[in-house]
Amino acid sequence: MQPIYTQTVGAGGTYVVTFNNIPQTFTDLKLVVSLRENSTGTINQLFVRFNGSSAANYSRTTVYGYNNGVFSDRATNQTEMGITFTNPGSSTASTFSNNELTIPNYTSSNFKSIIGDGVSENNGVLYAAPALGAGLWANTSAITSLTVFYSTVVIQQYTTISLYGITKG
Amino acid sequence: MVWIAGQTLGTGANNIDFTSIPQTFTHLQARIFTRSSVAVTGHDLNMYTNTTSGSNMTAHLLEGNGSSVNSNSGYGNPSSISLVAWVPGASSTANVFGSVVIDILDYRNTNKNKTFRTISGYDANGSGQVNFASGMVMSTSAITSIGWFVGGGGGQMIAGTRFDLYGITTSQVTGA
Repeated sequence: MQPIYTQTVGAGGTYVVTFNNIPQTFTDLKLVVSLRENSTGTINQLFVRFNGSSAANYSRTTVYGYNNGVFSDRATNQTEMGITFTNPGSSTASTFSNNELTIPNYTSSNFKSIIGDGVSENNGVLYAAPALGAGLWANTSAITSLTVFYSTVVIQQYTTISLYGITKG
Repeated sequence: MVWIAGQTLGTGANNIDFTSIPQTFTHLQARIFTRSSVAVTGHDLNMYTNTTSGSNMTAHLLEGNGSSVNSNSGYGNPSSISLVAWVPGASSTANVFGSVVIDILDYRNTNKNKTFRTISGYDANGSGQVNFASGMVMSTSAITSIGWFVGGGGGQMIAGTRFDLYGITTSQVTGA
């Protein structure tokens, strides 16, 4: 597993983190995310887009625990992928999520199937959600860029997002 | 991913500890293969670090046992994180060990509490359990040591148990 890119969010935060010009020389990609955003009263998914596309061709199936309950949900024809959760501003201070997305065969001309496992933690029963997810980007293009983003909440300072490449033997 | 250290047990042990963890990586991963001597079919594997003290730990989990699913949480637990992983005990089918992978991001980042992500489980051909769990230490201090012990009271991790700790680096290139 080889590190490709890493970004750390600076003071003031940001809405968007983008990795451009992803090398096309690996077999699979892995995205590792330690993220906190500033929403209150809710828990948000980790939203990702590929190649800057906001077309409604993302979908997901997830299973997660929340508030001592177990849930599974599905969403179709989405404009972004969100298969795990991140830490909101309402969660314990200085606490960031721990997420990993695996993107196999990212250069292939097939649709892209993504799997993810991620956790958000909190000193309490809310705002903490271990989640497993499967996502689809119904696009046959090779992935050349990846964006983590929110539209209305801010990704907080000290968030780190890393992209790794994995090569088959 | 770089191997830092490992322990393979020739006899049972109450605790497994990794100390003096190098402060040169960005993330850590522990990979564990273990079974306990406790006379139950399965139970918790507990974890602690140099930064755990008092009631500064939390955990949340998702589990399935072949017939039901459950979500649970624990917070304010002193001294160690329980609910981190589920491993087989002495009453489980012979020769069955549990597998555990724990990912700790930004373990030396002094701006963050430390959040752990764990997948664990075992199958015993008619029994078993799979867990996906999180844990947190509410301390921004760097992690310099990590240890584990089995729950259930008085149990040991048996011979054949293996613990390995790996370090993961990140890129200096942003790709922005």
